Amino acid sequence: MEIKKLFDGTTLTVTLSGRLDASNAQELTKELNAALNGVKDLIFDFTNLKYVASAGLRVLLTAQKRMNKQGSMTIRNVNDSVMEVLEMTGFADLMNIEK
Amino acid sequence: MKWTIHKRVRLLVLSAGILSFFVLSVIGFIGVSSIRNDVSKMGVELGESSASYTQSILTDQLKQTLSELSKSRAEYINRDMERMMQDVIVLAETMTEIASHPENYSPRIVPDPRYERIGKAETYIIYSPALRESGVSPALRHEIEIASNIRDYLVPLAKSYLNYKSSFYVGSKNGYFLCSGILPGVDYSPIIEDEIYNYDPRQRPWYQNAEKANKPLFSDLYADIDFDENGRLYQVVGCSAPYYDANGFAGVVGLDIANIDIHRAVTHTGIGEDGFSFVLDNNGKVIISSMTEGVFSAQENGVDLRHSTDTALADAVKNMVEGKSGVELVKIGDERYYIAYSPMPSVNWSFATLTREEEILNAAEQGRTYFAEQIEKFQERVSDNYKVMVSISIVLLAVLLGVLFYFSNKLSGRFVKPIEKLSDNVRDIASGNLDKKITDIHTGDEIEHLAVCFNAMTDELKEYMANLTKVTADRERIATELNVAKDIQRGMLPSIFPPYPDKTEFDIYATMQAAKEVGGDFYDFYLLDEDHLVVTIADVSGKGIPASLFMVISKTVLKNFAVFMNNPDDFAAVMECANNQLCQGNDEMMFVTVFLGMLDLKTGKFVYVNGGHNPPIIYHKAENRCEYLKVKKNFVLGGMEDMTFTQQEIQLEHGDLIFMYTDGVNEAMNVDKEEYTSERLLNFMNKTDCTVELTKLLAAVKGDVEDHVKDAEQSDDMTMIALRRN
Repeated sequence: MEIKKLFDGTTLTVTLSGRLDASNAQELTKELNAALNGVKDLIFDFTNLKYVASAGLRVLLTAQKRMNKQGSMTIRNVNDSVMEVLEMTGFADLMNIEK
Repeated sequence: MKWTIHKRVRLLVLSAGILSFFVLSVIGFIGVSSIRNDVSKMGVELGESSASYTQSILTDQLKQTLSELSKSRAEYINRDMERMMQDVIVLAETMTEIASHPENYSPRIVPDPRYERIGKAETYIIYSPALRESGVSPALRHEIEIASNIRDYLVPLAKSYLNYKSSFYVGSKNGYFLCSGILPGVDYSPIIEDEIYNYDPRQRPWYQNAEKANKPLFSDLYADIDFDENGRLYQVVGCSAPYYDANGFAGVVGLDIANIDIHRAVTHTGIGEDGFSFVLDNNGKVIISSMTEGVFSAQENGVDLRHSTDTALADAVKNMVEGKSGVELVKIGDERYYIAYSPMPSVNWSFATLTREEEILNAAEQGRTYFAEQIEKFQERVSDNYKVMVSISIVLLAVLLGVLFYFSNKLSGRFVKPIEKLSDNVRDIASGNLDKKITDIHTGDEIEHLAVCFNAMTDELKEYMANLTKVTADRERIATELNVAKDIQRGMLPSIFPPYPDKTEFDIYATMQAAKEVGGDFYDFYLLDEDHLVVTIADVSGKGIPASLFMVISKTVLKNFAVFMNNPDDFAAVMECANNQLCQGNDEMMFVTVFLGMLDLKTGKFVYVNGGHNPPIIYHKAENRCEYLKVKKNFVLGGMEDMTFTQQEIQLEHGDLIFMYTDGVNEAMNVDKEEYTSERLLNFMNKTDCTVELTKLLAAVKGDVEDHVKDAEQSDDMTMIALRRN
């Protein structure tokens, strides 16, 4: 998986590509823990994300909980298979997802 | 052959040494050989040049020697002859004095051998036969008595020549003859030979020649007068001179001396075996010679050598007659001779001595031979030395090779020893003795450095191995614990089928194929009461120990709340309560997707709540069709507190079947990372016979998944549970 971060003032855009699963969820957690201080708007760009495993969902959940305290979190450009997972697990109702 | 360093070093040192020796030996041998060749060549040249040098030196020396010899002999003979001449001249003058002035002398009487005994050197008188016949007149008597005064001169003269055969005499024109020393006979014995009484001096050549020449002269040689002490005929040299009285010629005085000295001087002069000498008179005839026969012997009727057919000899003889001196090479017959000659001016004779050229050539040849022999000896010595040197060299080479071998062996041994020691130590270390320290290598070079490095490596290796042991132990412990955990986890799941053999209203069967790592899947089913069966399938997020722990909690919590549920309409509340319970202290954000269902065994009503789990497949037996169960999208459990869950219900007819599974099934991947997909699962369920025994159905599904996965490694737990209403 590839992680790209783009800071724009208090907005952090994280672009993920490939598969987000147990093998790299820890890496993303670390990246976010270090980057989220002072961020008001966290934006995930899932244009190139093909798959999210349950471990990946956990990271998204953690991020959502933190952003609930310091601002907002948005997920953009989610493809169908990922959207299916998000919907099935109920994450879609909980998160701000822009298709 | 194994090329160890030891052998390589030995070979290197050996070959370097041998090469040096070989080169030195070759240079040495070449040097010695060239010296030997030079010496041998030089020897031949030296022999040749020395021979010719010797020949020329010898020739020159011989010429000089011959020249000096002839000169000295000639002078010697000439001196003797001159003395004789002087004596004759003095005698003639004395006799002239006496005859010219008789008044100055008193009459004397000398003995007559006819009547008296004559002592040695005594002067006596002989009368010629003519005088004896005519008789002696008184005037002649007086004259004789006056003339007899010559005795005072003759006797001392004769005594001075006493050791030679000699005679001194005066012959008068009047026929008497006064003499000393001639025919001495026995001391004081009378002379009795008839010959002497028939002797008339006036008829003798010495008298007549001197009277005719009217001056002193040497007579011819008398070869037949007497014999020497060895019985050999010797010659007598005579010299005579006229004397005078007041009226003119009065007679002739003379002396005869045996030429023993001269003869000896001639006959004993000669160089080499064939060398000889001779005296030549002014007529070119040999008068004295060391030869007793041949043209060079003294003969009465000898030939004139000036007319010799050997022209070189004839020329030399002409020079001799002309009173010259010289040294020449002449040919006599077939032989070549060096002739050296010197004149004797007093007598107009010439002395010559001859030596064969061959003598010189022989001497030169001897010189050459001598040199050749010396050179040969020298060459032999050189050759012997050469052989000795070569032998010594070979022996020395062998010895040195031995020494070289020994030292190269030792040297290479010393060079290699630390390496071998190191090798032994390293072998020891390699065999596992990490406490071994290489301490006995102090070469101060790379090898010692290597040993130090080895020690450092051993330390690090030891530390690493200690760590490894610890880590391995830890890992093994963890692995063991994980296995135990796995077993515990598995043990928590109902595994005895059929679980309720007396319940015929339903069939239930479940399988869980765990992935390598302990996962978070679980299933559960239990009877709440006689008529209600609760079935659960869940998947905890993540893997490993945390997931399995969370799974245990989830299972326990879910069951606890389900068991205490009073009303089937509150089925969703079970999920809500369990969610809140699981959210407590869940800092790790663990969550679990849960499908919870409850079958009323009597009515077939199936109540269910789906918490983010994969929708199960329902089989409608009446239609022989499968479809996904329609589920509300409730949130997962443990993710967020106070979430509300919506329950749903469906009527299961007899033969209908609910197939629940975890995402390990639909997400099972082959080696090309292609998922099995929920579509393929539904298709398979629709194709396969869903009325078979549940064990066979699950095996069929598993078989289809495995057809897809093939050799790829299973990455997630694969859990399936099927519930059929009978």
